[in-house]
Amino acid sequence: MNQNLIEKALCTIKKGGADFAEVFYENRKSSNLEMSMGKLEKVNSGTIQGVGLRGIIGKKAIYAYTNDLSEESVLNACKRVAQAINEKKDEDVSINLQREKTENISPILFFPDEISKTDKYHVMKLAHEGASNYSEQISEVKITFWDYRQNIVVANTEGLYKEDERVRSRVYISAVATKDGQKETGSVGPGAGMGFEFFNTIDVREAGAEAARIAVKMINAEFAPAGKMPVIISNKFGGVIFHEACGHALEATSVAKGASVFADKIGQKIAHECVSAVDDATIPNAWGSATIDDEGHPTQRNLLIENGVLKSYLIDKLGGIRMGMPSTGSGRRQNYTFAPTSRMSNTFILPGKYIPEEIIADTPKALFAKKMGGGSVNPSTGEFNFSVREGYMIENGRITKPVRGATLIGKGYEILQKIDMVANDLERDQGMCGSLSGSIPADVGQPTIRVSELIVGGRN
Amino acid sequence: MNAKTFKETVFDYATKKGLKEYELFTSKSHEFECSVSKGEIQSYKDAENGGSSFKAVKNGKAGYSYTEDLSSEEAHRIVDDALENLELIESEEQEIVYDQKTRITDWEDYDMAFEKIDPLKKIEDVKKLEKIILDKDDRILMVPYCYNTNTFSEVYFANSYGAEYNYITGGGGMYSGAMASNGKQNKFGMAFGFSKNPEKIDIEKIATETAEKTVSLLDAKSLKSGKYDVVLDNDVFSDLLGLFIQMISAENVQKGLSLLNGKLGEKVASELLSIRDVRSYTDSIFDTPADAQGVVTQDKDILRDGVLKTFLHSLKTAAKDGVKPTGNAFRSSYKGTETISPVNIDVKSGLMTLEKLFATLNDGVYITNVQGMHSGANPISGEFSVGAQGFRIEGGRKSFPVEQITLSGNLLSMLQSIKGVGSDKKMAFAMSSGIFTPSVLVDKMDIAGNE
Repeated sequence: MNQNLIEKALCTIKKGGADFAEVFYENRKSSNLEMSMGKLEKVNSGTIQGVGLRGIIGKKAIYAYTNDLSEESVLNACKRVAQAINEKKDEDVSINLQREKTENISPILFFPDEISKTDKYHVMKLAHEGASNYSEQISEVKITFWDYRQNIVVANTEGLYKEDERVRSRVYISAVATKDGQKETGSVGPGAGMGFEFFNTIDVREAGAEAARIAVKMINAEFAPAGKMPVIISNKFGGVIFHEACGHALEATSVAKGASVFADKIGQKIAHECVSAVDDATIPNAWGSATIDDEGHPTQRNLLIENGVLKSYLIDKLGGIRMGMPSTGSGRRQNYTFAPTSRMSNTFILPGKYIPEEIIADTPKALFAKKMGGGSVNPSTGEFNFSVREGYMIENGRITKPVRGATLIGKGYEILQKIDMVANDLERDQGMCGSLSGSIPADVGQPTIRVSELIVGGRN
Repeated sequence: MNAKTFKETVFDYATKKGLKEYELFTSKSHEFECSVSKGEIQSYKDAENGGSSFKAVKNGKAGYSYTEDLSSEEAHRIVDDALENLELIESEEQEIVYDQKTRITDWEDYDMAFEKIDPLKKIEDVKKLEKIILDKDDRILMVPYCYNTNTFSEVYFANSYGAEYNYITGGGGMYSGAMASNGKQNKFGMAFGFSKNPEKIDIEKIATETAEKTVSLLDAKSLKSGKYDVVLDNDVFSDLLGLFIQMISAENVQKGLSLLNGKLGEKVASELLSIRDVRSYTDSIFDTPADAQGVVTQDKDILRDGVLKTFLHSLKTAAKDGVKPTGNAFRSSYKGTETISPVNIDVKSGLMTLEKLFATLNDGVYITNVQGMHSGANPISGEFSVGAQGFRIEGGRKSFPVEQITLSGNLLSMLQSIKGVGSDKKMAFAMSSGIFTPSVLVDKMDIAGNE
């Protein structure tokens, strides 16, 4: 899409009476490979290319998109935005776009669209071997390989004109263990904001074995007990607890409407003093990182909670207008068919002072959630849930038997106060986060933490 | 170029490349969505896009490639790309292009009734919805979700054997979620109405339901952990049926990923349970005349009186099992490949009203909402443990609202323990297939609470 058409598009929206207009152009080349029982079963690849057009007037936003990039079609979509704004016309509009180059914070060695699919196949094969050779109880192994190269242009009526390139690569391994007609699953999905070089930085075979290990451990486990008890949540994907219990409720989407339990709480103590947390989109090559957000704002490291005190929300352009606060570089979207909104990037609890073993030794009886699954939250009530994929009982300060099938529930604002020990073993893990602006890559993370009590949804 | 010319360009080039079997799946979608908050427009979206996916089949292997740019360069590129992808396939399972000149009959396209309504009227309606909800009860503080939405999708399918058809599906509706507070506790409830016919969208009814669902949960308490008999509200039962839907996919069955493997013709659920998959259902916005492989959709029994009658098939799974394809291989978009799913799941109603179900339950819990199905429920093991809310039932009546509990069990055991089916069948808030189900009474489920 050329700069001339972008300028015309912005002017058309602005002439409709918009205070602010924005164009988001995207071209994305993706590939997706699926392997089942060691045999490549599906290979799909393709390109999407389109443009998202937004007009903001006061506190309201109008959005349209099209993937017909002819001048006629783009300007027609802009006219629809202008009509929906339904304000008095502004006749004299001119735009002076300042093309700005920013250096990419995530350097790429091997772009996914320049790597042969045979090379990708070899990565999958290694993952399969790692999983299927782990145990005779493994009955099925499924590997999904997924990568893309996304090029974007963001321009707006404030004169901003920026380009960015985002590359992501991921392999997802899912193993099924079978015993006496029952089945359990284990999965891992390492990914990064890297090209094909990512697979030189991890041991893919080991990742496969890890998925299989969880499945086998769980098929041989009893069901978790039911009721209220202390829970120790291990590092890495355990951070999903902060993502759900707190992160979503700090997004401007909820806060601006007052529909968040954390609205109007900046400067107040909302968590135990051992809790500090950040959202950091500036980590080079991380899964949730980017040089600029999807509104062209440079990303930043946002300190969300410091020693239990709420320091910042996650704010996009429109959320900022609604809240009277500046953007925190948190405007994200799945693709051009979504209007951007405030989202997390790489969100994690910062390391504390304990070593993980100290926390376990200090706990007479608890559930140990070694590997977490996904979860969800209702930001207006704070009620969250998330599943434990690999659990153990802790008795007298020691890890004893494995347990399966547990779900943890609670209320976000309560659990933050109940985190009473934080270890020093911070690590991040990769997930896909779904919300108003679609499904986007996001890292979760934390060191091992202890929550003094949570409701564990096991069996009686 | 238009979809038909693009198809011709793709097919000409595919023939030149020596391909004999192939398909092109093209779709174009339009979406309209507006939401309000405090009487002001919160979001507004009015847009369309589309694209094409080419599937090449050679020696029983398939390769895919897609594009959003219907140009002649892209027509050639997707053929070359699909061929390259195909060469990598190792699976010995035979991919099939349907050798029928499929046409569509007995089908009425969606008439775009929602698209004909002035957007300003839609904004007015959704503002009205919010206002009615807020006026219902002082304890309702806000309506964080208040949407008016409609979509349509035009699909054009053709294959190398001369199958060729296009059809239009769609509809619209409104949904709202409110937040109420008693000063100590916030509660959230939502309701919706969707149809192919705008006249069926009852704003007053959606508002009343949203408000009642929200405030009735205030002052909720947790429960003592234990086994309880439960009534699963129709919305909740439809959520849990999501697991069953994955278990009846022949692809999952053949891969050993379904507990229903080998159970065809056996009684797998209570005799009170009968489930059909139907190509069209009153008000459903998911009605579809044909699948994404050229097979027309058809009405069929899945469970009759608890007995498993069929799995859902694609061409590939049907050939492997030696049965006829059932027309259930769908694509959510040209960006993806086929997955097996139902069109409209229709659970047969029973005779008991909700009150009668409570009376029969006598002592137990009425579950009105579950959260965390995507992570707390496993379609392969059938095990689930999810967050839940609802009401304690004592002496056959609702006593107090319940929160902070989990509901756990195994889906198949649960289906076998159904002791009553309600007469209150309704549409579920669904994303890809229609689900129409009544509430059910189930014996002894695991509930965890704060004691």
